[in-house]
Amino acid sequence: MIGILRAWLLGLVVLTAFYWLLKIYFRSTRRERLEKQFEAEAMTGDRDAWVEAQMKDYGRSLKLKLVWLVYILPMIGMALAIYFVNYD
Amino acid sequence: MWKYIKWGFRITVLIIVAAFLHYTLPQRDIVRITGTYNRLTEVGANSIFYASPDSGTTTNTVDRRDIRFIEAAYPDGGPMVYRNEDTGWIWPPYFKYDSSNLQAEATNAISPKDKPEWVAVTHYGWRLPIFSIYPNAVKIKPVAGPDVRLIPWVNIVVLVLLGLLVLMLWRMWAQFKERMIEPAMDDLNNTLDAVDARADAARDRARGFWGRLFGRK
Repeated sequence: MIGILRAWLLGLVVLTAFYWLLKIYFRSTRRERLEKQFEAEAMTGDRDAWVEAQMKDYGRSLKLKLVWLVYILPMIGMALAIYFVNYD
Repeated sequence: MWKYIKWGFRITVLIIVAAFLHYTLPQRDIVRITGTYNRLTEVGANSIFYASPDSGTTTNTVDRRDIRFIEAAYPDGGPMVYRNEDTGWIWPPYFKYDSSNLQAEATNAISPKDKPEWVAVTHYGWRLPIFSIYPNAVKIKPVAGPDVRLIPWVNIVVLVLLGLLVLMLWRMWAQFKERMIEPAMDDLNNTLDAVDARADAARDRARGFWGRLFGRK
C-alpha cells in the first residue's frame, strides 16, 4: 500500500516539474513569436501591453493542453502497462 | 589532448546510457520451458539487480530470500534461467505484481524435448552467472515455433518517446539561452567594453601627465 503511495508522490513531483518546464518553454516561444508579429505588422501602440493581453488568452488554452499532455497521458500509459504486464 | 578527453567522456556517457537502456527495456526470447522452482537465494552486493525488499514478493530481509526461478532452453539447446519477482511500484516501471500467476503459467507450459512447446518470454535484465544475476521474466506467451519473428513494438515506442524528450530538453535549453542568458551576456559585454574604454582613457591621461613631468623634451 505504502509502495503505491510513494510511487504516486514521486510521479506527482516529477510530472509537476515537467509541467512547469513545459509551461515556461511554450510561453517563452509564444512571447517571442508575438513580439516578432508585432514588429512585422508594424502595429501601433504599446508593444508590451499588447503582448501581455495576447499572452493572457494563450495561458488559458495552454493550461488545458498541458494538463492533458503531462498528467493524463502518462497515467493512461501506466494503466496500459499494468494491463499488458499483469492481465494480458 | 582536450579533444580526446572530451570525446572519451561523451562516449563513456553514451555507453552507460545504452547499457542502462539495454538492461531496462523488455526483450523477448523464444524458449522451451523446462522447469520452475523457487530457492532460498543469497542477495548480497548484487542487490541492485534484484527486486527491492519491499516490492511485495517477499517482506523479508535483503540478504536471503525465496526467489522463484523459471528454467528454459533455447532452440539450439543452450540454457537460460529467469527469475520471477514482482517489481516495485517505482523502478523499473513494469508494475508487475502477478509473479505467482506467472509461475503457474510457466509450470503449465513445461514441455519435454521431444514434444516442445515454444513460448516467448518477455523479460528485462541480464543473465550474468559471474554475478549471479538473472533477468526478470515479465510475461509468457505461446508462439507457433522457434523461428517466429517478433517485432519489439514497446522498445520502438519507448525509444521514440525518449528521443522526443531529449529533443524537447535541447529546445528548452536553446530557448532559455536565447531569451535569458544571451541578453545578460550582451549586457555584461557592453559593461566590460565600457570599463575597458574608461581604463584606456585613464591610461592615456596618465601617460600624458607623467610624460609632461619626466619625459624628454
